[in-house]
Parts: sequence; C-alpha cells; structure tokens
Amino acid sequence: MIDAPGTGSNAPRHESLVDERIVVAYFMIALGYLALSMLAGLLMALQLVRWNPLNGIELLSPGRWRMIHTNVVAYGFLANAFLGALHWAVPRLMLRPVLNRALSWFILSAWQVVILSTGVGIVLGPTLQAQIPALEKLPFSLGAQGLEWGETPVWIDPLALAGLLLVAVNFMAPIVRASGPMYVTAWYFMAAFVWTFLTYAMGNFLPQYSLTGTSAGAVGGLFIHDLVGLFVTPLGWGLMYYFVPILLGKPMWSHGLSLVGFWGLAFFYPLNGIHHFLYTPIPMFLQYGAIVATIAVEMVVATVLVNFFATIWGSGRAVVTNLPIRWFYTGMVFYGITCLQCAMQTTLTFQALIHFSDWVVGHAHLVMFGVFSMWLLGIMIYLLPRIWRTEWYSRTLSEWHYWLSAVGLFVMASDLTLAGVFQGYYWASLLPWDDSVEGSQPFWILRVFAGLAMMAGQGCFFYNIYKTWRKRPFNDAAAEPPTLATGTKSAPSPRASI
Amino acid sequence: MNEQTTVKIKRRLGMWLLTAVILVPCAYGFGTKFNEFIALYRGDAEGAFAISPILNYLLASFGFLLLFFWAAFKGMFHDIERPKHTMLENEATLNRGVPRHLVDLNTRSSGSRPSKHRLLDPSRMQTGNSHEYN
Repeated sequence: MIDAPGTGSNAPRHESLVDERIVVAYFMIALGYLALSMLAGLLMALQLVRWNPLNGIELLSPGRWRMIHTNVVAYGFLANAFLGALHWAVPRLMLRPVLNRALSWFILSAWQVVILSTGVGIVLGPTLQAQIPALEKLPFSLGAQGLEWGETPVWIDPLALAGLLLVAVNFMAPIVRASGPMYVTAWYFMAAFVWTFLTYAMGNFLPQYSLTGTSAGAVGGLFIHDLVGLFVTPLGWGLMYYFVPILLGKPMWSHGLSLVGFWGLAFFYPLNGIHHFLYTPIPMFLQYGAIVATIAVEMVVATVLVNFFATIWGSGRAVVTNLPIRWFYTGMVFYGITCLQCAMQTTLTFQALIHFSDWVVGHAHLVMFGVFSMWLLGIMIYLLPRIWRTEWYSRTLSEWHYWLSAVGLFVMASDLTLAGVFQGYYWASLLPWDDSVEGSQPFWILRVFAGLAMMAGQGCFFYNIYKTWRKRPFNDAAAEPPTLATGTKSAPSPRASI
Repeated sequence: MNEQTTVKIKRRLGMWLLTAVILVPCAYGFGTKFNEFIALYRGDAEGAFAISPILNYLLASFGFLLLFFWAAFKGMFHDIERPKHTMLENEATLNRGVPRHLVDLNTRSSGSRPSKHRLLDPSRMQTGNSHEYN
C-alpha cells in the first residue's frame, strides 16, 4: 500500500487499473437477481397469508421459491454486487490491476452458470431425475442439497468452489504484490477470499460426504453463520472502510482501532456458528464456547461502529446531502441493531422463546437487506453515475428509493421480530399449533405490504438507472458539468459504449 | 534513576499486571474447558464428533495467528495510522485529471447548501505528511 508502483507522471491511471465495463455488468446482473429474489420472497409472503397465486403448480411450489429467494439473494445479488465493487476498489486501493481481465470476464460468466444451474437444480432437479431413467441412475441428487443456505445441488459445488478459487487468485494478485503496511480494507479482502473458499468447502462437503448426525449439524451451523461472518461481513466492512473516507474526504478516525476489529473478527468469529444449535445434543461446552465467542464479537463490533461514527463526527450533514453516505450509515445503524439482537438471541433463556420463530426471519432480513444490500446499493448509487459520467436522472427517485427501502425494511424487520415473540409465547403456552398460525396472520399481512414497499423502492431505482444510462454522454469530453443531482432532467446526449 | 526511567518501569509493570489479570482467568477457563473436552473424547466415543468443529476453529485460527505474527514482524503495525492517509493520497492521485464535477456527483442535494465535506479533490490536497484533505 505504501509503496505505489509509480509516482508523479509514472503513477498508474484509473483507466489502466479498473475495467469499468465489468463493474457495470456485475451491478446490472446483481440487480436482476435482486428483482428475482424479491419476487420469490413476495410469493412466499403471499403463501403465508393464504393467497398463493401459483397454488397447485408443483414446480413453482413455495418450498422451491423459498430456496430460490435465499440462494439468489446470497449468491446472485450479494456475490455479484460484491464482485462488481471489488473490481473497482481492489485495483484502486492497491494501485495494481487484477491478475487478468480476461479471467475476470470468465469468472463473471462462470458464476452466472453456477447460479442459473442452482436455480434450475432447485426447481427442476428432482422432477427431471424421477422422469428420465438415465438421470435416475446417477449416484447423487440433481435437486437441492439438504443444507440451509447451501442448497446448491451437490454436482455444482465443485464448480462453485473452483470459481471461488479463481476469484481469490484474481484479486489476491494485486494485494500480495504490494509491500509495506496495508490499509485495513486489504486485510479484510484478503481474509474474505480465504475464508469464503474454506467456508464453502467445509459447509458443502463435510456434512455431505464425511460427517453425519449431530456432528454434521454442528458443521452446518458453522457454515450458515460463517457465510455471513466470513464471506459477507469482511467484504462489506472492507468496502465501507474504503468508500466512507473517500466520500467524506477525510481518513478513518482510528486505523489502529479498525485493525482491532479485523483481528477480533478473525479470532472470535469462526466458533460462533454453533449458537444456532443451542439446546441440541451438541456438548454444552461447545454451545457455551459459541455464546462466549459471540459476546466477544459483539465487543469487536462496538469498536467498528465507534470508529465509523467517530469518523463522521462533525460531518453529520453528509447523511442528508450525500446519498451513498446515507445508505452506508443507515446500514451501520441496522448493523448495530442486528448485533444487539444477536447478543440477545445467544442467551439460552431468550433462545428458548424465539427459536424457530419469525424473529429469526426478521433478523435475517435485517442483516441481508438492512446492512449488506444497503451498503451495496449505496456503492452502486456512488459508482454508476461516476462511471457513466453524468448525474442521476432524478434525485426525487433516488430519495424514494432510499425511503421506501429503509422504511419498508424497518417495518418488515420490526413486524417479524414482534411476530417471533408472539409465536414463542403461543408455543410456550402449549396452545395448538394452528392458534399460533392464526395469531401470526396480522404480522404476515403487514409483512406483505412492507415487502411491496421495498420492491417499489427498487422499481424507482431500476427506472432511475435506465433513464440515467440513456442520458449518459458519448465520452468524457462531451460530459457537461451536471446539475449535481437536482432532480432536473438534462438534455439527451450521445451515448457511451458502457 | 531519572524520572523518565521510573515512568517507563511503572508503565511496563502496569502492562504486565493488566496482561496477568486478563490472561490468567482466560487460561484457567480455556484449560478447564479443554480438560472437559479431553474427558468427553476419552469417555464417550460418540462425543468425539465434537472434534470436527473444534479442529475447524483451531486450523482457521492458527493460520491467522501465524499471519498476525508475520504481519507484526514485517512491521505492518509500525506507524499504524499511516495507511489511512496513504489510501486517500492514492485516491487523489487517481482522481487527477478527472473533472471535478464527475468526482463530486453525490455530495449535494436538491436545494440544499453544499456539504462541508467533499470528495477527495487533488487540487485541494496538500502533499507531504500534513494529512489534510479538505
């Protein structure tokens, strides 16, 4: 980091470092998957309020849609959006391009094959295998793997793992070539590339081929939690440590404290996952170990949040005036809430109440949409107009996008959290199961409307993107000084090729 | 013994005391739980499955422990605040030649006054170690 490959006139130029076309391609694909995932979520929400528009169609059954919803958001939206952002951040941070641009495009294509195959496998796999004799003889299932968040069919797992290895090689090349003290973002990225590969291998192969019973369950618990903590979290925080100082125009409050956060995550996080299986036959010392490790991570999280809020101290108005900063800091507030929830959830007393309830669903939405999706959408809001060399088509649409997403998510998460508490007490009172379902209806109805608000927000974003793309200038020289997001429409101009 | 040496010794003593206060209970807790783990492994063959998550954790943590020591010995933590300034200086270098209005797209809202803090602008960045970016 310290030793740049060139200074002065020899300093690398942005054009030689960043392939802007691949950043845009990843973002557009990610947004397509976001739309699909939200549609799948809406269908599940409608199923719960007994209004499934696809009722009776086996291939489009709610169980399949639920897996599409979770897999597409994790591997389709988040992974693609992260890869797009990394193609901007890593070369600029390390002042070196990725290993190979052609490899980047190959990874982009291969990853889409993995995701689409996963979707096809989940929806069609078992049916195809049952109807085609040649496929029936295969020693493995073509359908979903029986692992939460790891439903990727077993025949795709080696391909996905090879893809993750290529991602690591492509992005690690500029990082390992740099010398001198590294910025915290580079630490997070480096760890994420290693952790994601190991986590995916551990979760998808060990329970499938070598472990059984409770042992497989324990590893499954590690997998689902590490997927959040060791894949999404380091990439998310790494990007925040990169974009926030740039957008605020000032450095992080304390780089030392940010390293405490990184190393704390490295040492405390890997044992957390078993807290998903409290009150199971897993030995209590492992369950207690997971609880203690979780509390330790909460302390680490506190250092990270303190650092970011100390950084913006004195520049609070940026939350109002700077859209990406607003998305980022809203995500951080949700992150604080979700970690507070996490601390409560891992206590045995509380776990007895909320386990299996909608509290967990609300928590998952708060993490996946409220935190990481918000950060990635904020990054897109910053980068897309910059890449297209024009301001957003409409500031008003951008505002609607933010408020519908943030309020919709807040209502959904609060609603499901409360629903979880109600459901827990229903079950604890030993009333018939149906009573808890009836009692949940008001919450589930409200959830549908909250989800619709979030979808409407994304609709505003997609339209704004399309109109902004339409009005982009032909080249840099043609770019006129924009009106700085005043919401007014600019005159149409010739288009660039991106 | 001058005053500076006395302060240094006091600081060092304080550090060792604090280290002991933190590490002794931690080592006791870890040792107790590890004993429990060994007992479980020896006494109950079924309980041996607990090894897999423990091994996963130890392997991952050991790798990062090595990385931590490597980083420390390579001087990664000397002048620990420097990388945050270098990162912004590099950004300024990369933004050189980019028209200001293209770098500064998101910093004003409709009808509001300009934000005090702008995107990194090379023309306003001072060189050297002043660490001033605005």
